[in-house]
Amino acid sequence: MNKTRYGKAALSGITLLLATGMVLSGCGGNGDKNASSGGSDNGGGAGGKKSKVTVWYLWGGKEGQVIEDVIKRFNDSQDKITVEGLSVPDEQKIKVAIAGGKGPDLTDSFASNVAQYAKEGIALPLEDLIARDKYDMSDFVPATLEQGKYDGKLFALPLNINMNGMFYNKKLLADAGYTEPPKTSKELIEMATKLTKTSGNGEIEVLGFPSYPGFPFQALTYGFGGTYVSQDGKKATFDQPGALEALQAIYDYNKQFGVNNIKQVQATGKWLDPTDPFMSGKQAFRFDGPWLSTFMANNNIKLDYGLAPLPYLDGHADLAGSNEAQSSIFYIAKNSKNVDGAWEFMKFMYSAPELAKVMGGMGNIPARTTSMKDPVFGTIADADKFMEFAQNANVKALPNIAQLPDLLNKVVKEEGEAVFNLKKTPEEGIAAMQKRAQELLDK
Amino acid sequence: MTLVKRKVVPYTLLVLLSLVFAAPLLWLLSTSLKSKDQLFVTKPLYFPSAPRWQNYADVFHTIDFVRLSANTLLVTLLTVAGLLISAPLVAYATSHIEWRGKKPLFAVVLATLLLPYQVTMVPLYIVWSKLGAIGTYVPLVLPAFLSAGAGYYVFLMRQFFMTIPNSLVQAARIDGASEMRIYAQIMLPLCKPVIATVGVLVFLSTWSDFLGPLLYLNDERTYTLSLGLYAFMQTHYVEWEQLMAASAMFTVPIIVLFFLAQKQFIEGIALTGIKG
Amino acid sequence: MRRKANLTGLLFSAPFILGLLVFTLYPTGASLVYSFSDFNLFKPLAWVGLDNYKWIFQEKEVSKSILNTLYMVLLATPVSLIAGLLTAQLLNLKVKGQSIFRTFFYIPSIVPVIASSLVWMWVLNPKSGLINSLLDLAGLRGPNWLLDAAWTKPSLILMTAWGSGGVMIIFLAALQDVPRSLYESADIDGAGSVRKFFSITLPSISPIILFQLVMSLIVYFQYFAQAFMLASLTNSGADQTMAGPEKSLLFYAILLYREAFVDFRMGHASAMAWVLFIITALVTWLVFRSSKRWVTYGGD
Repeated sequence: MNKTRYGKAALSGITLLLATGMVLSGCGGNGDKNASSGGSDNGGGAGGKKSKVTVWYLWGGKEGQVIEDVIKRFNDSQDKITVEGLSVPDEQKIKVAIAGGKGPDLTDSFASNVAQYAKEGIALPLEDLIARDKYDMSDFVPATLEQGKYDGKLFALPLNINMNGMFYNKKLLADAGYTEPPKTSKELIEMATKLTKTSGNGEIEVLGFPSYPGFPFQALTYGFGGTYVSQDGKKATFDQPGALEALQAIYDYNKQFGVNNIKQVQATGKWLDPTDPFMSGKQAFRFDGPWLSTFMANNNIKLDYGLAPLPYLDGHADLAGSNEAQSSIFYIAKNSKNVDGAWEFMKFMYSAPELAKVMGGMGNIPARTTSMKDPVFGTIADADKFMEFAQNANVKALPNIAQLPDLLNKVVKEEGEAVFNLKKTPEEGIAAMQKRAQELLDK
Repeated sequence: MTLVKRKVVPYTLLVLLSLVFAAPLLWLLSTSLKSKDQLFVTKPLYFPSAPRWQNYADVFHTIDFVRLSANTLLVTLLTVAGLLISAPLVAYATSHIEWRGKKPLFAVVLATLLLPYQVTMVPLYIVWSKLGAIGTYVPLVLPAFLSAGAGYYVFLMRQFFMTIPNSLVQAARIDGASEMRIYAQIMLPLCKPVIATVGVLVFLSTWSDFLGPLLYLNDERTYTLSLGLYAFMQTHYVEWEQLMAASAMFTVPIIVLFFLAQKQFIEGIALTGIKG
Repeated sequence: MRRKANLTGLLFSAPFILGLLVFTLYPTGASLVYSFSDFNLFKPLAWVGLDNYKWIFQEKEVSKSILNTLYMVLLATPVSLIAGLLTAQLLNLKVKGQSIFRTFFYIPSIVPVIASSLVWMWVLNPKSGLINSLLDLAGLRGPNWLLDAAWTKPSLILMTAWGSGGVMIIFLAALQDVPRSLYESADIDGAGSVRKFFSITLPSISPIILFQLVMSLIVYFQYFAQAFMLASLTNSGADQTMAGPEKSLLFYAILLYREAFVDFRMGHASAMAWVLFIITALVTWLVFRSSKRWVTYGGD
């Protein structure tokens, strides 16, 4: 067949196609002006008919069931609003759905996304609703409430206080002659090195360092008392003590045991699954949240483990208990067609007893002080310890700035990865993070 | 010697290569029959001695496999139907009708082959969202009824249509047959192979399509298999062995389809590929 | 008579033309407009001139994604064409059970991406995967494949060769149509099979090679699903960059998708789409130009 002829035909076809396209779309922009007219308030059960609220959540399985349970209790508690829940375990999908005008009225996310969602116009400011109902927020832990704010306005309510603790395998420590977990960065590094067991060809049999499930830079930095950004969100703070030490520890460990060997361990099991190296006794130290304790308790995993605060920077006892607090949050979609209904459900779910039930069901620490005192937490594995960690004065949080996703996903991830793979020295990594982060913040 | 060269060497190569091509799928099968603690066993060619068929039954409890399959089948069949209705029409118009648009239109068909789908992806998404069609199957299915984005299939069909001697069409015209009748009673029956081929190709690609459902479907209840399995692995506590079993079940229908349609399928391609 | 033909032609093409206007031409024009503006679904359109195009030339991630994409285009295209041609050649030998072998070679290319990604993720697992555990038997330590930036793209190339059945089947069809008589007269001249391949087979199927070459180039310039799936399968946590280790899986189409549907920068995405369109058209044009030198058209 004569392809050259087709080639020419195709190219002249393109010209034709373009010309028509231009004409057709003429002022293609015109149609888009009213793209975001959502956020109206036609809900609220006017006229006696039940109004509908859709709630999408990222959780699945047992945790998803906890949300379904609170939805059911809400639906049974009143007869004006029906809430429909749906598990959508893909945050991106939720965003795209809201953008397409077919999203939920209410959904959850992580506090680190609040600023971006507020800025992009995905999340609805809650100020008016709070003022109208004189909603009392004094019971929320102040640091977590900050996480729902952007530009001084509240866009989301915090559910919980998430933070890492240091889990350690008691048996592995005992075998090496240790009776106590490490308290300082120096002790951690020493013990991690000693506890690592390798086979003849260098493959790691027991991972000493907390480099599973991923790269522990953030947890180490905040544990060592460092931060990424100043509280006002204006200055990058990678050049303060903490971050460099964290990166150095990762670098040294990787250099000694081989990046490939460590990555191999990262690929051998699935996080929060019985094949997870910590649960199968192949990891000595693990930085993880309260869900790990809950998972082990619920799945009957018999592991003799201990839980301690993250080690602090050697020689800085005043920084003991340093940690980073994160929160999960719920926000109302800006184009929700039933803002009032969504808000009613939100108030219900965030009431002290309900929040205790929801967070208790997931094994998380609630963001309300009254809820923390609920007896349910006496029965949840390690809840007492995580509450204690949460109340330490050295706990910090990342400020809510719109650049946060770029800071974490681009700057920290790229430079951190380069150091993890030994392609940059820790000093170079920190210098690059500091420089690039500051440029980002100055934008 | 020639026997070795003619038979033994090719056979050995064919068998070896078949093994290489089949190995990953056999691996899928073996993993789908493992128990949790056998998942990370480091023995190659490890096949569980006591296959755990339960994994397959469990899939139906963990995800709504029946609904996902039904959704996928619905979208796929509608798309195939849409395309098989609309594409032969334009293939006929660009092959056997002597009209002003015959050549320019074919040039446009070829040009659309070069147009990356990314160019139309964003505006189409916006149009569909304004029409409130996000979350429905309309954006996935409707374009097929207008052969939109289907330049390749139109091209394949048109090429095949060209192999039908024009004299046949002319003779029918002289006999006074209407154009629709020539199309339906002469062209289509003669072009069955390519219609079958294109039907199979469209079926295969729609059945496994990922991006379309990813963009347009939101509600789990409307998910297709691709998206459902993707969502399944995005959640925590992934049951790998079940995911493997589900993937195996997802793949089986298309293998069966290929077996059934194999003969016609190859025939349709053989002719379209060659004649100009 | 002629007028009637024009009307019939138009009627028969009407569905296609309507689809073309609504689903191809309008969006193509609209995306050009978007490419000069800043907007998303939540905010109105604002004209920004060439900013989006400037961004394409300045943003490091774009250049990274172009390099990654070129890698795929330049390696995966020849690999899939050569693998497809060689397997087709093998299948074209008159051997028994051809249809069974054909099925074996073809099936991988129609396995849904989600399933094939899943399978390969496990086949390439550094410790318990098929390949590394086979290497282990031979006393070798395999690479970390999808976790090591140096090996992610070679892994994809491997998958490409595995999935070359679609290319293979079209080559097979072409090979079966090379006139027997050509080979017979070559036999009389005493030509060996290698010479026959180069002096008869290749020239006879060169138009098909051209066709497949152009189609593969287009496919790999738009490479998306497999990489998207593997990047999200192998990462842990809530990372939305979909880029793989050291961004080695950040392909142009992935970045474009991310700009559009993760970060909602529709202007960036539209400009990227147009640049891709121009590159595709340009490369196709170059290939066609060069084809005059190596494609031979038979007598028909």
